[in-house]
Amino acid sequence: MTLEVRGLSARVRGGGPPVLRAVSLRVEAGEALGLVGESGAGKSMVGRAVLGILPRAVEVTAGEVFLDGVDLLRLPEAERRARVGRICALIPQDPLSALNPSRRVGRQVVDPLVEVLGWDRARAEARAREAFEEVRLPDPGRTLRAYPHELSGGQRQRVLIAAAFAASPRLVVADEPTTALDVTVQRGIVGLIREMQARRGTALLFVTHDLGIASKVCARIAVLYAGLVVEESDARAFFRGPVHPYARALLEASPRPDAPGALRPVPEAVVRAVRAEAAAFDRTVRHG
Amino acid sequence: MADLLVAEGLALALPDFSRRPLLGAAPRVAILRGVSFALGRGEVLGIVGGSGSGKTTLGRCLLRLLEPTGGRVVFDGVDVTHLPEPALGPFRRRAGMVFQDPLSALNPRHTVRRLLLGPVRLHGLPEARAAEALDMVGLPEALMDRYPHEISGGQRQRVGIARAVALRPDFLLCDEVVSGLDLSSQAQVLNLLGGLARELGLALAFISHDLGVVRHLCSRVLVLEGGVVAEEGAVAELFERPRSQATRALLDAIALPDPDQVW
Repeated sequence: MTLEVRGLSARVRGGGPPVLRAVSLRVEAGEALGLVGESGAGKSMVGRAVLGILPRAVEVTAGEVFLDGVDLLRLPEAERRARVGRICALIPQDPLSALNPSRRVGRQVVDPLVEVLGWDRARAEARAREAFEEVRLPDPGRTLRAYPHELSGGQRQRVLIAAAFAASPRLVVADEPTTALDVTVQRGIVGLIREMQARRGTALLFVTHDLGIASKVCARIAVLYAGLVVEESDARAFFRGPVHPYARALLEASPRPDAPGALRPVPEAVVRAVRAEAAAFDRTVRHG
Repeated sequence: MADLLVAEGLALALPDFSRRPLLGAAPRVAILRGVSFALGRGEVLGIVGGSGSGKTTLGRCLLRLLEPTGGRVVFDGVDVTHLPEPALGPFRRRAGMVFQDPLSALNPRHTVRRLLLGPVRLHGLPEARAAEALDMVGLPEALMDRYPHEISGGQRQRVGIARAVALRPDFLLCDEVVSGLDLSSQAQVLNLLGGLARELGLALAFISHDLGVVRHLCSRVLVLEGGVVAEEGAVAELFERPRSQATRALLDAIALPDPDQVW
């Protein structure tokens, strides 16, 4: 098991509201798990907690995050950072803000290999070039020397995918990697992530609000609401018919251009029931 | 019956200051290159295209937020293409807009009541229109004294729609109004817009990058590419028999929530 999260809870510091409520997940090597849900459900927070990059205002209150059998939350800070840096990578939502506008993109792929992994520069440069070819960036030699503003949105995301997979990490967290892109380039980017992941046997945690895209990437789907995993199932079973009422309502609210008609928003009663579930969870925690 | 809104050969070219030579004028870049279409009363038209295809610019020309450099916009028989702002008053009441991001379109320091009363007072209409509009979009009266940050994203977008329909317009331009919303709010807002169009006989121009969403709301679609109309037709027809490369690319981009779809 590459990643195993057990009972992970987090909340806003200083006794603030819960952000994650005993989240448990497993992702094996070569497997893609989709974390889906509405905004504020905590899907990005799971990815960030695993990588140890939660916002300053959020603290983990309970749980374990095993990466290759080692509980990251028990490690001293420096050791945890070194370990995560060595075997994990993030593909962010917005490639423009993830890249430094004043540095050539090649440098931005090479530097982490040198500084975090301790490779010598020549090896890192050769690897970056290979990675640029692998993600099919045009004229890799030239693109390595380009600045972010000289590339299109899709090309910038390709650079970040190259960077993420360059050192063949064990786990990649992709956080809404296509949301900021033009619709017509989304498919190419999704296909590329799938291809890179399959070739390297990487474990992939794929965070998205788009059930359509999740259905193309993920073999398993976890639905979050209010920091609670309400359903986790095999993707095929999930898209055929989710079990949890909220998960089912969410799927039914998705646009279906192949079966047009009035859309069905999540019914108020379903939202009330799933909120009650979260509140009931909080009571059991408080009273042991 | 005469069309409500007619665009004839709309063109817009703007100076590109990033390529301005040391001496002389900046070269012009053409954003719209002759867009023509007509919108009937109560008709719901989708305007789709990839980024940079000119859909937002077209919308802004239709509402005269930009002045086209070529062609005409005729609204209910009146040529509004080059009317000066003071003469646009009646047009401004009858042609409204809903924005993509209600959080930045609504003044954070105004309550919902004040947000709704603003346009109503500006046009000298009875103040009861504000409460009426809130009711039309299905929001409870209790929201009147809330601020935009105190309500959900879907509710905020409905306030944005209420602000527009309070003036009882004949035409509403909706520019990517659901792209920032969650699935459930998206479904609510789309159903609401469809209902308003039917019940009030409101004509809608619905700008979107997502043909899948357009399929649920619009009867006709205009596909833009590079500032020209690549294709226009009934939505069902367009899905079954796309004629242009631009339409096919947008159709291919639709990811159905179905692992068996070849994508």
